[in-house]
Amino acid sequence: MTTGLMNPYQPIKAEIKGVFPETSNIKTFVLRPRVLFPFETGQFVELTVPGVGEAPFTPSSSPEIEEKMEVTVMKVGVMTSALHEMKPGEWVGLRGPFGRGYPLTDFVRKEIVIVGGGVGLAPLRSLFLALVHRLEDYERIVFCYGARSPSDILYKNAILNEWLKLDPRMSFRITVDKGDDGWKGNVGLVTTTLDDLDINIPNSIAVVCGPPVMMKFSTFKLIDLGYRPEQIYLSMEKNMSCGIGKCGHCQLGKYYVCKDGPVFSYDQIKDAREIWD
Amino acid sequence: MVSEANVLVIDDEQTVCDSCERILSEKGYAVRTSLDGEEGLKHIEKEPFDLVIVDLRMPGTDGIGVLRRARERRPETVVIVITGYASVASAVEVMKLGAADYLPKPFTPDELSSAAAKSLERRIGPAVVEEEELIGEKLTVLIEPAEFRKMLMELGRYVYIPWRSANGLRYSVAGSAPPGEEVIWGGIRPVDPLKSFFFEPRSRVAVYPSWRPEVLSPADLADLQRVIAGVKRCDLQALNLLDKIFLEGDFIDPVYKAARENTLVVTADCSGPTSSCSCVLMGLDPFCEEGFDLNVSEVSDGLVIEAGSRRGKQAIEAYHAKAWTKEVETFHLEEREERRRQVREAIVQMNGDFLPEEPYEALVQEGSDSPLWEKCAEACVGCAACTQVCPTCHCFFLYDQPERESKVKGRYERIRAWDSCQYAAFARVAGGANPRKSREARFRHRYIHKLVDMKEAHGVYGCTGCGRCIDVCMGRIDMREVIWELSGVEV
Repeated sequence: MTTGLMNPYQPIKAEIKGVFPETSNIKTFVLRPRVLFPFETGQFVELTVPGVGEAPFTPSSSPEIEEKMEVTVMKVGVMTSALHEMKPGEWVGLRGPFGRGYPLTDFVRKEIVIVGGGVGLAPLRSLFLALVHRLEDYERIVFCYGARSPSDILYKNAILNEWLKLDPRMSFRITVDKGDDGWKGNVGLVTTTLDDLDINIPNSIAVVCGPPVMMKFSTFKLIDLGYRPEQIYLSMEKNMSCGIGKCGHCQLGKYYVCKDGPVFSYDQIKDAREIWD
Repeated sequence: MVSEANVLVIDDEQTVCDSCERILSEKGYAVRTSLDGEEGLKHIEKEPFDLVIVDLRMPGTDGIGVLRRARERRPETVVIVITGYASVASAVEVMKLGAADYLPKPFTPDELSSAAAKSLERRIGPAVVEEEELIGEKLTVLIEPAEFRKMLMELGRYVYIPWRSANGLRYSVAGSAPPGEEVIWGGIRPVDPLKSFFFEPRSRVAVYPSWRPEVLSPADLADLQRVIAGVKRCDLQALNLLDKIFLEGDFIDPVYKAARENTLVVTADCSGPTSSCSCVLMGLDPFCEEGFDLNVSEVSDGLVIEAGSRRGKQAIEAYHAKAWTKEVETFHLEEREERRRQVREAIVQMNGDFLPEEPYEALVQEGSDSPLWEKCAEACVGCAACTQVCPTCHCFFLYDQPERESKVKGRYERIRAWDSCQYAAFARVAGGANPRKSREARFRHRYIHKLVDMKEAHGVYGCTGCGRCIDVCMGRIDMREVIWELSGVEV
């Protein structure tokens, strides 16, 4: 039947409930979709700025909270610049959720190492909150995060005031490429935080998300440390446009990132051409 | 018509029943209400309602139960589901069960009356064609060309037939062609790729804002009682591949589906070839044996018409009754076989040089680091004509613009337009990363996608040998020569 068919191109309406600046060019938007919008952590949504266009984002909020969704967006192009101008009370469009998120059932009773860089922390925040929700299921969580400078650290307040104090099974290793006068923490690339990991690697899972070059060297480092490719999960950023495996933009080897990803095990894609570009 | 419609509202909240009744009565509907699912169903048993509006969550028999049983007992009844607990999942479920619309509460009076009007309107819209089923036994008849043309004209509102133009065959709306001019059933595939009828260069795929998971507006799907005749094997093969892409998987493309369901596909044997024809290199014959509604083969005594679907069979049977068709004799079929064999042989002869010994996927994969790609990229001007004319290329981009038809401010439409992996920015992300920055990478990508990835994903090559990309290339690049060179032959 033709009538009664869901239209996957149709965005639904979501109200902006709050806008929170994170850094000079990154803001978190709290959205309230007009219908319930459940998602799995790691899945992405297509967000529409009315009349401007849409772009893919992975929600940065916990999948356990149904009535709202947060996305953390860096201002880089036309759509994100328009979004950054928007205020609470205005509305945006949402499609999705699309793709495959993190396979949390495979993470159970594992030691989880999360490696994030820059705005790549956004999806990892959602993952982290999902893990914390069932913390007893996991052995421990080591969260490694690298930002360009102290002022580029995302969710700084949450990390310093909430996350660090949550539970002894979690530890944080934060580093910046370049420190400033007030910075007393580590300086160096995020890969340096992996140097002295006290982890039982055969029982570990690593999750990597960030800019392409950071993902590349973090993955290589994890391999050097003894991780097998199937123990490493990558959240791939491609130009997902339709979200439904048809428009061709996000092709990665034989996969469409929008429907086969965005989360892949490194084992799935390690031989794909153009993986780090 | 609409104003006389009988409406039943079922909701366990008196206030909802009352306000629906008030809103719809004002619009001229005869409205009754019920506070209970079971009681509502009893009303439906007793008398037919044109429209039932039912709440999803109710104690006892809920909205799903009412929807199910109402559709069973009275399939003609239009059902709209309303709910205060809207979710995409429940919307999908009720739509699958045959609801005409899904309306989250709270809704405005306008939203309710517009949903009611639209749903009732949709009921009297074009008949929906049922799923195609392959027919058990084949039905084949003989018909005079002029009579077949008359038959086609009666099969749809828009009939496209192959017409000779300065550039080759074009699909033209039958009425617009000069009278007396003959339809060309032979020849090679028309200039236009068949995809453009189902996946148009530009089409509207959504209008927003809408705060509910929308079903496609009937306005977008109407006027498609089409017949497309003269489709050649290369294009039919491509259409079958596009069917897999747009109609399979978790998400169905509603625009493509509507176009496909409302179109009768009439194929014809190729009498080619031209120099770029290469179906045989892709494992295809220049004639169709399945996947069509009707197939046309020219023989000395007229046209052999074969039905390949229930719709095709029904069409033949209808015209058989009018005594337009004749029995097909064995010698007609033998002539058809002989003609097909000769055309196939001619294409094989012409392409003989190009047949490599290994399957293409192995050649392309193993040759993925070959210096050949760089050489090709020098000849390629990046115009993307190859992908535009390709009958299987289906990449697109989405863009939004103010809606043009309505005068409502703040309404936008989403347009789906052809895109091409040959354009530099195709895979670029907003942050600037671009996996295929060089023309060489983009050029190679097209070959890998068509000859390796699509074969793996769908079991068939993404090239059907139609040869259009060879004809249009400004850099004079011939896909066959590229494959040949990959297999180690100097060109």
